[in-house]
Amino acid sequence: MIPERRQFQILRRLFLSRMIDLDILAGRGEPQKLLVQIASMLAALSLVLALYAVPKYAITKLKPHALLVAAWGDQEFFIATTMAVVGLFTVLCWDTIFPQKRDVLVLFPLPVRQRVMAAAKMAAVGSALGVSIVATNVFLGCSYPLLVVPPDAGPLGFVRSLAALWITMICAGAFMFCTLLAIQGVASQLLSYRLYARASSYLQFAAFFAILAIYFLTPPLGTLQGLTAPGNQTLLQWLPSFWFLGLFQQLNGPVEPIFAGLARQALAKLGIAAVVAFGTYAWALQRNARKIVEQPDIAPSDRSRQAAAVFSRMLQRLIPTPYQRAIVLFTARTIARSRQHRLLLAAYLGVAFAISLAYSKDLLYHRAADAWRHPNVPLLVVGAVSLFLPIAGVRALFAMPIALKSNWIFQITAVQSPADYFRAVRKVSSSWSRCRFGSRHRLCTSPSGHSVMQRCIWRS
Amino acid sequence: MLELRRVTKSYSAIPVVHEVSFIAPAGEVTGYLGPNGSGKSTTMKMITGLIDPTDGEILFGGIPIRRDPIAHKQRLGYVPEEPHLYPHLTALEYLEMVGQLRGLSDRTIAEKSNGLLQLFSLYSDRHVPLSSHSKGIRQKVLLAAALMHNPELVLLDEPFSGLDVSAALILRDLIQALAARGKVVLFSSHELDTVERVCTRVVILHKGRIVANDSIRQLQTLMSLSSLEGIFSQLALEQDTAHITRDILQLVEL
Repeated sequence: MIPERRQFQILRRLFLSRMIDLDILAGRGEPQKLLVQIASMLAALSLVLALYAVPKYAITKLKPHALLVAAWGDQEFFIATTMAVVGLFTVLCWDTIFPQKRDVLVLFPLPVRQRVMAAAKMAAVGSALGVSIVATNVFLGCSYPLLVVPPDAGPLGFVRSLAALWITMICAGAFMFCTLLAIQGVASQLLSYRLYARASSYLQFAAFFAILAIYFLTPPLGTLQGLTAPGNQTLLQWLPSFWFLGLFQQLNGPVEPIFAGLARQALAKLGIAAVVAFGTYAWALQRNARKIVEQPDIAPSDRSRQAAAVFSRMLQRLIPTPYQRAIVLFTARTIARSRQHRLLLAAYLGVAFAISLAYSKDLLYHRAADAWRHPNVPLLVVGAVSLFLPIAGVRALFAMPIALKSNWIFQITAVQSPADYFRAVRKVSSSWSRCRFGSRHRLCTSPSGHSVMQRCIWRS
Repeated sequence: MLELRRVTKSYSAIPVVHEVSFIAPAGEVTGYLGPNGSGKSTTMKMITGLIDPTDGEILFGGIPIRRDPIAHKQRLGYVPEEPHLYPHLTALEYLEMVGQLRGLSDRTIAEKSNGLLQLFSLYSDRHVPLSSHSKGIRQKVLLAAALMHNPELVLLDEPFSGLDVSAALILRDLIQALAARGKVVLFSSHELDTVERVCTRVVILHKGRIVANDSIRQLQTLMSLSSLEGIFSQLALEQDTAHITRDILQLVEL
């Protein structure tokens, strides 16, 4: 009998090394190196957070109790940051969490039980998430608890604060992961495998933008007034970072009764998310594993012949030159069907989205001196960023090759001069940018847009 | 002995393999032939347990493979049609992983993987990731992985694909030697010359149904044809190849 423990260890290592879809990031990237780089980046983030928080609390003149109350806003921000990091990491690992076609084709003919495979996959995911949570909090989690020890906590107060912070961060990260896994699991149960394979990437992008939106647009309610105002109670039911703030407060030593309810919500919703996530995951594993072998991952949509004929005629009219039409069609099909390309574009759009949200947050909550209707710096930045980054993304997208080994076909069919092909590619990329970001492009290039921008610059 | 009893596989109620029954005896190489899309690879995948048949039963050594899939997989060596491998692993790492998952001892794994890599002329490239290798080299790695646990049932789905001449000659002899050692060898290929030389009996599939199941010599006698190519053309090809060639030329010269 083959020892399952050994199989589990080998598979856990294998899955961990493929945790982040290397096909998306880089064709020949080294997985271990990449994981270490990501962990280092997250640790750097933790250092920045610690450098921000520790001096601020160390030199404060506030009394201990007032300091604990004043710290709620920052604590919520740290929890939200951990949740966002775990969320983005889960989005990045989206396709590797469920067994992939390669896993099934390579491992299913081997004498490995499905439950061993599933357990190894979960252990790999757990290890990766653990590393991301630890790395995000490594500096902050060891220094910050020293500063928020309740005054009457006794000699073991620091240990309690330390434990409270780490338990909270782990629970918050686990909630985020389970929620995203539950979304994937439920979708895989509701949709046919083929439809799920198609919808999965859209869900991935939706999750990506939703995480950014929630992170940057969460209202600043981490004050006594904010948390106790009756008008905010409904909103608080929908903001997970505040539930886990409640959990932290409860674990660290209760200050306000409002936290007891929030902490209960945190634990209840974590439990629900975990049950749904693991239930649907196990079910999907059972149901979809064989379907993965039988069906293609992403297939072109089943268009009717008539629609295809109409599209073909339209394209012939719009782009009469055959080689230009070939480039346009190849580009469009690549972007539509390549996850690698779509994810790259999503990353650029996500950064643009994040910067835009960060700048417009004050305007949204009426905290800025400027009003929406007047030209102002935040809006100028939002306009410029949301114009520049998507266009940079499109440029990067067009520069990224797909299936490099297959490009011989372009080399042997190159009967025009290279300049002609470059012209065609430029035409596609500029029309694509115009098509996608046209309104903003027009705003920034039109005379009135220029005038608004000049006024903004003059004001700043 | 491998036995398929009225095995059917349907997708959306359309059968791609329809009531296929045949026996692949131990000590013989059974050729499994058919045009593209006839259901060969689907049958192979059902025998490995990768997919379940919609109907019918597959038995190995008289025991249904569904009864204990893990025990079945322990006795199975499989070379798939497409070289599915983890491209970030090296050839040595891949063989080590497969050996470990199959429960071989570390010493056996080291001995077998190094030996097989040397014999397949892969030893010097053993630390190079599989993503950098050609299709032929990946195919050799798959062959080594399929054989390293000394399987009783060897399933070879287009094993010659991408192999160089010397590797192809080695494999041809190896297939016969494996059968001579009492193993069940099921071998699918489009290279009819090789099949004719290697196999003692053939099963020909056409549109998911078996159209011939006999020894090559018997089929030659029955059909009064001297080559397997002739038998295959008559049984599994619907098109007039000469006519199609003419039509292609006409289109090319348009």
